[in-house]
Amino acid sequence: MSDIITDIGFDSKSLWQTKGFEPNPFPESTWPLLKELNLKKLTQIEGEDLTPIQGMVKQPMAEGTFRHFYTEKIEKLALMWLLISKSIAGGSWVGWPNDDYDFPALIIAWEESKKRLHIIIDVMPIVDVVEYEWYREKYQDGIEPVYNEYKDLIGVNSTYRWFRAMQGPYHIFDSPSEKRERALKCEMEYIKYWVELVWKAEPVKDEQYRQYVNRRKRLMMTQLRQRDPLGSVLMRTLGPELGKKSVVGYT
Amino acid sequence: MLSMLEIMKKGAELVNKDEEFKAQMVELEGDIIFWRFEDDQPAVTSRLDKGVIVVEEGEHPGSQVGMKLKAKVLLDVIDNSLEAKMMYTYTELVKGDMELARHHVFALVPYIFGMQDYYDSHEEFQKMVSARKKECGG
Repeated sequence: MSDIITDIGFDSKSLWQTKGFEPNPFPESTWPLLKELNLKKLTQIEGEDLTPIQGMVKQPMAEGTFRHFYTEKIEKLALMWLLISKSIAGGSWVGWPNDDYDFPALIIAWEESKKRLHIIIDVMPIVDVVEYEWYREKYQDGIEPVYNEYKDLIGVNSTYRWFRAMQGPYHIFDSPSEKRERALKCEMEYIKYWVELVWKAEPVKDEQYRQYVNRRKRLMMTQLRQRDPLGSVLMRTLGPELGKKSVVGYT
Repeated sequence: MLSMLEIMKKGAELVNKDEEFKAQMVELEGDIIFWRFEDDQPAVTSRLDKGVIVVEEGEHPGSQVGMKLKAKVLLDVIDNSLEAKMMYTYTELVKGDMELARHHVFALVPYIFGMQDYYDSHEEFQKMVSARKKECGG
């Protein structure tokens, strides 16, 4: 029997009921694009058993679930679909290359409520794209037509300077509340692009560059783990044990 | 003129009676935050006590977090013209740090979302918020 996952087992409406709005179909729109990668289920990271959050999690202030995957190129790819305080539907995909590859991280966030939508969309470079301009050309410039098509979604950037410092040249960040369908389409385009990058990616051969890539990648992951406000939200709403698993799962 | 204390007390009264928000707050305990308004007296403390939001006058010495802000910032959050998480942008932390603030202020999510709901559905509460906001020039 193949251990490739073909079904995530839920859609935007099957896990919980929102109040006063219907969330856009984030999981079912994005999953078919990523499953092309022949993803396998990841059940443990850094000794942390992820299976308790891969079932239905139900706490007073949050309910939902997580999925974690890997392939021979992807170290971890995490999906979150969570309802916070009955009012905010939170979805995300975060994916990282394993230590043999240098393709960008996938950063997709979807935070929707009755009155607002907040999105984060990036194929986040693992290296400094000024120092390694070829990296930008190889892995990032290909998304420029999509970025140009959807740049009306861009608004006021993150208030966190460490996060702004991490962003790629085609980062999209804001709350385009009146453009929900369009925002989801943009996320799908970025995911499609990332999937292509993963397919095409070749292992890094230069050992010195490989060490640099992995050092910088771990720094990015650590900063996200320690500073991303989503982490505090997860710790608080899911409790310390499940919250820690959820944070380790995507950083 | 209504004070923020009166508005926040009314908000707490409504949210504490609401079954949906009571269920969300059931495990919350011990988060104490004071609100020092630049343009409103007195200061207010909100604290979670066994799943109940308690709003009282003054700056509670046991607060983990103290926030200094204009009254309009909280009123904007209540009438949903400002996203709740953007409140930090307009707030000076006078006690605690951002990590503590994120942790403890998050416990107020049911209270804040509850006040937003009641702003939409409860005429008296809406009038209180709107009147105070008008006085603030909002």
